[in-house]
Amino acid sequence: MITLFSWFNSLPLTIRIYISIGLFFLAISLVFVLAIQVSQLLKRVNTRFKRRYMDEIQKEISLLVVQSSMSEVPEASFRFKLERLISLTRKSDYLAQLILNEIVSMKKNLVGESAVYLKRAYLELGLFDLSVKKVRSRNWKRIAKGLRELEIMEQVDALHHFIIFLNHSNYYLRREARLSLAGLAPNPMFFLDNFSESLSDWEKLLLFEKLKRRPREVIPDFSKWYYHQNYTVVTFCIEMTVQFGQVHNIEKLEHLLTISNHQLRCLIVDALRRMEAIQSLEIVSEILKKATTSKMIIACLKFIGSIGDDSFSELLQPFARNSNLYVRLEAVRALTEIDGKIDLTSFAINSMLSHIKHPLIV
Amino acid sequence: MKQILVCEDDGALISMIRFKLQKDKIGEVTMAQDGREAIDLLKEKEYDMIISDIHMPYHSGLELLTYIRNDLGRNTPFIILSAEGLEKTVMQAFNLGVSDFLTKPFSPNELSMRVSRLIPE
Repeated sequence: MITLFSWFNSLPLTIRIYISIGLFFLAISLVFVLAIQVSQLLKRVNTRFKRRYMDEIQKEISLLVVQSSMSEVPEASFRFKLERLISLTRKSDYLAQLILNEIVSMKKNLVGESAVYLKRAYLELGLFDLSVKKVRSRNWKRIAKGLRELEIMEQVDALHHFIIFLNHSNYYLRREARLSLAGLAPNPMFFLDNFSESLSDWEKLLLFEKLKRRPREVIPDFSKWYYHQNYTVVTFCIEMTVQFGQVHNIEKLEHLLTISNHQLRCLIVDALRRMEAIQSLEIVSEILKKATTSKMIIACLKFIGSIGDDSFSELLQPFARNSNLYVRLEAVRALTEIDGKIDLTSFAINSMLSHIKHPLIV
Repeated sequence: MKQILVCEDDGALISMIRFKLQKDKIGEVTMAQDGREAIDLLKEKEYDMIISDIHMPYHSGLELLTYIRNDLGRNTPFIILSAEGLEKTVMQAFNLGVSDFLTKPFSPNELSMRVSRLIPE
């Protein structure tokens, strides 16, 4: 060692600096390699540990659900099977978390008696407390996971946990709270009353997915928010009116057509068409007569094309000669749909008809 | 014992279906965790019933159904499990020759009843 140092000291300064830098980087690379190796080893051990228990956990939960529902003494059978899961939960928090993940994952796909047993197991294994612990943590991802678990396990008693996140500074937590409430609360959309931020298309879709799974009686009357100050809330409510077939709101939608927002009016005409609002034919034809933008004209033409009859043929004729190609196309389509007379001598009507009747377009 | 192939990528659910069908003495369950594994198993052996998720890695449930009906020319009863109950998807599945369609979340008792009704004696 001493010889090595004396040899190193005998070297010129520049060489010594080069060697030191080289050794420094070599040491850093070794530390990195070691860290990667240790992390891989830990991951492997973790996966092996998880696999070892995973099969057992899945089997125990399946047996708990299946046997309890088939047994002549369901309560005794449930208790007996639960004991094994209780002993696993007590072994470590990690195993309790694995059991929680499996129960939540299974609950998502099951209804009926099996879902009831899963909910009971969730409570009796103390997994509810584990979810609440997550909700109380500082990490937003853990909080979101906890909220989702509580919602999937239908813990109505935990609604206050969701409500406090409605005004949280983190967008994802606010969104998660809204989605969970839509999936769980007895009045699922109450948060819309004072909702001021923008509802993204993605969130609208997720909310709809949640509402679709709720019983019909808890679905709110969406006309309540037709005059909401938030434009995204209004568009969402119009869409939900269509999706949940709230035909009693057709008249309210017609009233909404008096507002000045052009985009919203187009959306309403489209909603009325999808709700097959035959009673709105007169209003929509009046709008068509006064319409100035191609978007509104097209929406009205689509409406009349799908609901109207050949008595509207005269009204539609001029639009088949409109300067805008899309308006012309929609007018011809509407005329063919209502079996209206197409009198267009100066128009390449045959090619247009074959074009719009093409299966890929229809 | 009837042979049932269950294609589903959710381990917990597959385990539950297996226990339910075996406990009800409907048949012996073989599991496939993705469409590719299911096709490999189908090439080797003919099953009495197939239960498949619609969304799976590599090949969807509908692709698997098309493969069985068109490529293998088998009329094996086929049940689709799906989280989406869109009319379009249901119609597409029935047009392709699916025997039954079950929307998630479902009741294991209902699945068991539907399987026993469809499985050949």
